[in-house]
Amino acid sequence: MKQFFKNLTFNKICSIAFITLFAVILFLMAVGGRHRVITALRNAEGKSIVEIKDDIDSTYNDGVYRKFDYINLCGLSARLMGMNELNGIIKLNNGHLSDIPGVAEYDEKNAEKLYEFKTYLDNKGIDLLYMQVPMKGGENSGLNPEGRDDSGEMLYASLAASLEKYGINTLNMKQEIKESGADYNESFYVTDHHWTIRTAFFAYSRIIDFFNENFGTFIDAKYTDLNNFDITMYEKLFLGSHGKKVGAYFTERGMDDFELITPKEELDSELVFDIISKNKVRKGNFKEALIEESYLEYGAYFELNPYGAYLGGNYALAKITNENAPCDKKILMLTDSCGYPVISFMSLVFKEIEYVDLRYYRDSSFVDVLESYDPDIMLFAYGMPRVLSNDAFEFFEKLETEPKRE
Amino acid sequence: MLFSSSIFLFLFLPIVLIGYYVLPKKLRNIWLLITSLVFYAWGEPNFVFVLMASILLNYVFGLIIDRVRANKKISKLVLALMVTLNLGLLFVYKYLGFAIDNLNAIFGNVLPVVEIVLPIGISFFTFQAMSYVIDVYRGNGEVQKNPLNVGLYIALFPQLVAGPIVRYQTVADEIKNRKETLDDFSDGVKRFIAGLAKKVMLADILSMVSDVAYSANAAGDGSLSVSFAWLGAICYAFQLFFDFAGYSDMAIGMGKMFGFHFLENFNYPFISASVSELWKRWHISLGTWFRDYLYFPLGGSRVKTKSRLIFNFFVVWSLTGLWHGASWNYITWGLMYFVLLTFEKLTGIPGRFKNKWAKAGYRVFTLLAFLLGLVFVRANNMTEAFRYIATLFGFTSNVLHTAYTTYILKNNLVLLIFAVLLSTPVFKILREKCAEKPMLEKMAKIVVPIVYLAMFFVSTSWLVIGTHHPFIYFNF
Repeated sequence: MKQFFKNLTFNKICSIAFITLFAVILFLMAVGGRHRVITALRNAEGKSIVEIKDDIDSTYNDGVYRKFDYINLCGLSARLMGMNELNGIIKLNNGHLSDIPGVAEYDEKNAEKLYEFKTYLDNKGIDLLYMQVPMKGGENSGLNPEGRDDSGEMLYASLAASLEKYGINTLNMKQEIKESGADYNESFYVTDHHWTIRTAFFAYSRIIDFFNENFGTFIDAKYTDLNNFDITMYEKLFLGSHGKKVGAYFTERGMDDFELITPKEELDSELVFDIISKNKVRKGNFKEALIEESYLEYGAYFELNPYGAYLGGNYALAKITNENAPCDKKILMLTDSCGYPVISFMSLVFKEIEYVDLRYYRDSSFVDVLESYDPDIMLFAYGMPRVLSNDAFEFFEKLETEPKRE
Repeated sequence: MLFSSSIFLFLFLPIVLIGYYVLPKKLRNIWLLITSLVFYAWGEPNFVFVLMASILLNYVFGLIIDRVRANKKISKLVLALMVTLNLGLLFVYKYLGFAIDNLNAIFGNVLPVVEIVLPIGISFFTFQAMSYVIDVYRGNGEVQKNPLNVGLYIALFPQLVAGPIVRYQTVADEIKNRKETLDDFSDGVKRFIAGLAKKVMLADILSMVSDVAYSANAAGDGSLSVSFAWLGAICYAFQLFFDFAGYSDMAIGMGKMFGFHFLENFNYPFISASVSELWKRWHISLGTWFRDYLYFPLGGSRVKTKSRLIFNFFVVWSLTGLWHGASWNYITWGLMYFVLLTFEKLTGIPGRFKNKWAKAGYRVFTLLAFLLGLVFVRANNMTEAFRYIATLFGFTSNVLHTAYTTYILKNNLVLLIFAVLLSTPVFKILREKCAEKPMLEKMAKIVVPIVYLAMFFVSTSWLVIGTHHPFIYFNF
């Protein structure tokens, strides 16, 4: 040992320090990931060696120890290298993250299916409103980097034209936001594909205005006045679905602030939130029944989805009842996650709202749900990705394809 | 198992290293052999028996060759049998399907079509196994009485599936007598990290650009602009280089961690002045294998007639092409080099050039030839390869340039600059300059390891985010 220390040169010290650090890193990573191997081994009963190996492989590679720190580091390094795209995500010119845009051709068949459905609703005396949910970027927004084609805006405009052609009541939210004077490009979360809760609230208010003007409802303006709502600000809480893919540092704008909009006491009401597809019921005031506050905790940015605090998740079929609502019309809504905050706000004014998310619903055809529920008003709120999906406008058939995980 | 996977980096490698250094010296080779077989079996559970059969076969041939060495006729016969069996194994797994397809194309569907899965790395370990027996035959290394040692030489995991093709004479002594040192281990770690970074940060990211270009070309809808075709071709050249050079760096680095010293596999091929020089700098272990075990036995360049020399070149380069893959694309690629290298050999170009512009022009030609050759490697078939080349030179109706090329170029500019710099000995020269000044050298001793650790973290982050991680040479 004495001899070892005697021979210890500067070079050797550097080598030892380097090897030690490298060994410590490998050791920590190995120890940090041990539980995944242990879990795979515990579940090994009845499996072949190859299956056990595959289990270890997938769990280990998918769940590296401190994975989220590595994702953040990757996003930061990509940003420092001037990269504008990473892991299927593009950074728009205003720092917003979005899916790398694709180029698709407009197909009018969905509008035709909608028209067929409208005819069916007309015969039943059910009012129909199609709310066109806006999307980020687009070719004329000036936000897409030059060279990246994006047909989103064209598809949106084409659908709007088709809806008009077929005489379907439409609320073009892109147009509405722009006409309101709000900054359209900031109507969405920086790190997520969803519109902000404030924008969703605006959409809710425009829906109510439309209903009042066209469907014979008489809902007081106080229900759509933001002054009658509490706004709780959670600064830098939200890392959206795009942000989760590239980390919090890929965009210089960082994480999103999240505003929780809830009714003040005078508007609040006792609600019953019946999650039919889960056999689960939540009761209480707006916050108790509809808000999942555990999604609003700091520190778990990659695991939690604060946007999902409204209604607490994606459900195939659910109904909200408000016995004290000022309007006793029954609303049926066909929607995806973009509609969840809107549904929440609407529950304050309608006696019943049932909603179906066709990404998950497989028990029967949508028309079966409609016939058994017998609504007064039918409302659509589809985000653009949903509009482009294959089964979004299949109303008369029971969907058979594997549902997305609820 | 891929080197660039978290299960390898954070589970397999630490276990192997700990086991290796905890075990007494006499058990270390066995430990390395067992873990190497596990490494192979992890990705190819069924084919591990093919690997073991190859080990056993060549171990036996080594013993026989050693025993009959005195009788030249018999030993040559044994050697021929060994080559036939090894190449037969390779033929069945790699070339049988291709051969049947071609026979059926010529004679009608006379043979049943077979779909045989290619065991990964079979071309590498077969050539390495043959090197063992040939070197024993030539007296360039001692025969191994212990089959485990032959197993270790052929199956040692760092170089098992994608080389470098380690020659038996290079490591014959180290299998039995090697000394692991602190400096070697430290250098090995750095080399490994450098390789990982090349693979994950350069090859994998640039592969996404080349994939877009070649997919657009495959679609044949005219959407590939001329400028993007060039960008895609350049990115593919860098992808291939950093994929393979990175893998070789990792293999050499891990070898050093265990006390082995493998020879270099790349030596800045893109700075070559001629095609001949490029092939002395690119995949050196394959080039020297063909030189020593095929080209020289055929007579090399010391033959009496030019036609014999041309024949020798033809054999070596068509087989080099075929070694890379069973398709006409690879054969065309190999034959392209046959033409170019024969041209250089017979004309003495570019050595005859006195004018510096002519020399510079030939450098550009060398790179261009390399780039065009790779189109045959990357394209799915000959039709697509010719279409891609036609697009490169504007012989299709595709547009010259779109803003998309500029956008993708900007997006990858920093990486491309690094790719260019790392393709030249700039950093090596910088290190040598530092070494001349003691103060700078001391600083480098502290700073360089920090840079390597940072590179390791960043490379791991790219690996974790799960972008595209193909290993091209696994398929060869």
